[in-house]
Amino acid sequence: MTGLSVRDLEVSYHGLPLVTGVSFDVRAGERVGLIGESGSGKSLTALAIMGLLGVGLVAHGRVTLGGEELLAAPDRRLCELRGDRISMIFQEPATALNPTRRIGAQVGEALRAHRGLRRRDLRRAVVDLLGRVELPEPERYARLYPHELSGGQRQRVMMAMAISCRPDVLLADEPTTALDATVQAKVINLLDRLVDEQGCALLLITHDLAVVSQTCDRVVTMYGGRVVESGPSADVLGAPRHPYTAALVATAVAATLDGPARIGHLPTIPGSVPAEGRFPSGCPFRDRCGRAIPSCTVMPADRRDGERVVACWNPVADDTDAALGVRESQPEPSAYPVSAQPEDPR
Amino acid sequence: MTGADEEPSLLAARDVSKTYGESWRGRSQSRERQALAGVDLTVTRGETLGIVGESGAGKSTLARLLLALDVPTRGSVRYRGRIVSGRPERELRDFRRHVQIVFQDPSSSLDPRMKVHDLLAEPLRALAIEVDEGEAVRRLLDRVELPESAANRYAHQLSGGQRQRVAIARSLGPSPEVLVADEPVSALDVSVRAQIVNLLTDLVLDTGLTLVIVSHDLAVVRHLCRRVAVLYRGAVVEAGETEEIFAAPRHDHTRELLAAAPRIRARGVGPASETVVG
Repeated sequence: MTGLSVRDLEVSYHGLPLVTGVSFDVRAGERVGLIGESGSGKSLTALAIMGLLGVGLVAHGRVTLGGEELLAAPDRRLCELRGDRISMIFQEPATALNPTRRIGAQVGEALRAHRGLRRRDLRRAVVDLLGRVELPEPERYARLYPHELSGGQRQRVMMAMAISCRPDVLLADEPTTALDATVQAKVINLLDRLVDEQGCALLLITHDLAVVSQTCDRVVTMYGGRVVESGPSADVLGAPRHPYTAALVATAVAATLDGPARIGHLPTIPGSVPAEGRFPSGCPFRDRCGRAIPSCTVMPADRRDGERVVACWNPVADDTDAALGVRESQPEPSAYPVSAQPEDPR
Repeated sequence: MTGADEEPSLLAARDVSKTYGESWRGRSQSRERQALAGVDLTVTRGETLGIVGESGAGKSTLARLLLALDVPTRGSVRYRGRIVSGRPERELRDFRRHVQIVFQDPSSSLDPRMKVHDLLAEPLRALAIEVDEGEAVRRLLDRVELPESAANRYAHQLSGGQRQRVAIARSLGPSPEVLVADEPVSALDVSVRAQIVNLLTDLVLDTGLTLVIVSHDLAVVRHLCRRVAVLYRGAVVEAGETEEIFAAPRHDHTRELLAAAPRIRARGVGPASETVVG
């Protein structure tokens, strides 16, 4: 098995940098959660890895899969790798599936292209895959069209497509966000199990920290197109060092049953994610950060501490409880760092 | 009749059942499906009620019946003591004005061809509410903490959180007594979700709005609702004070829902992490 390595990835749109200096690894068999609010650059990073950036978007840096460079690879080579060694599950299965082709044909496409399976072998493999993603009556479902399936079923089909060639690395971009809330847990459990069975590496892009805490070994936090923190998920979520991760965790914990029990305000992250290219110079989070100091006008270098990396001039220390404000201030809703600031329309 | 010392019932479902008929072609499922079976539910003035349950429990069906958007197979829905279920639309004008709804996904509930100003003014025009439109729109935007400039935007020019603010503002236009919100935050990012929960909290605390939240998200219901009704397979299996029920659930299904609620389980996070069953 091989892993994925991203070094100094930059994605720009006509010279405007949207993703800057992004480096992280997804080792063989490892599960990494990529977290951050919408607009932090998570999806762009994934699309750059897959070589699927839209018109006008350019990627620089190094992305290697088992040592093989992807960014510089010719399209023909990428076509060989995608769907075979590396594959991706998209957020919106309704648009990621071809509405004019039957489920079976779409699930079998990669096996046909990469493994040369035909006819009965292909049919058998497809039915087996549909069964493994727990679709009822796989033979019948193989003959249906995407519109005849529910959202959750479509996402199961996407998963069957993604794992059909047993890839080394699976990228999942908000795989449950477009689904009915009660179906989300089932789909995540299935993803968890499939990744387990196949032993493939997973890069899970999500803003759902509960899911990350349950499925991922390591976490990478992105904000403003940069990686601001990374490390083992229990450590990062348990004692975040970057004020942005700390704010995300406090907000997320408050939104679970571990949050405040009584009616009152929940903690929020002050302000909102600015439009692309409108982040402040230096640390992108400094205009929303309660711990900002004058040095923050310059982008901080990564501070390393074993497995943990944080890019902050004034990180949250282990002995302060600012990160876990929820735990500390539980009794009184008024004690939360409440921000009533609305988002600015763009 | 309601006694003077009792809390007046504003909106009430009495023994409502709903059976959906013939399945659409292509599906080989059974002919009829009972979505709700004999549900009794009372919403009193100024209360905050959460209706929780898993997918398919009948939550949205119950919400549609409470809003008189669908007709129960049996039983009735009353607003201020008068039956509203099954009434023709022309007799529901008063009801429509006073009982408003916020949907889950503002991207699909807001007309993409209308600017925010018109989205907010439309219910006022439709219900023939005589107000200074510009002033009313400004007041509504202020109420949901959006800048005045948002009035000239289209929904697609706003973020998800801003769109849900517009949807809430639209429902507040006719000064409703009751707001029914069907999964109002589940389509939103976690940080934006907290902002919308806080906005709804303010509305309840400041204006005494009666709020009915339909949600699978127990945490959201706990933040917003003093009372909760747990739906399971079309029936209310448990109802009462939210704090009491969450602290000591009596029905197995309530216990299951509480156990299945998402938690951030990394060590050291959250006050209850040591009690979380892994």
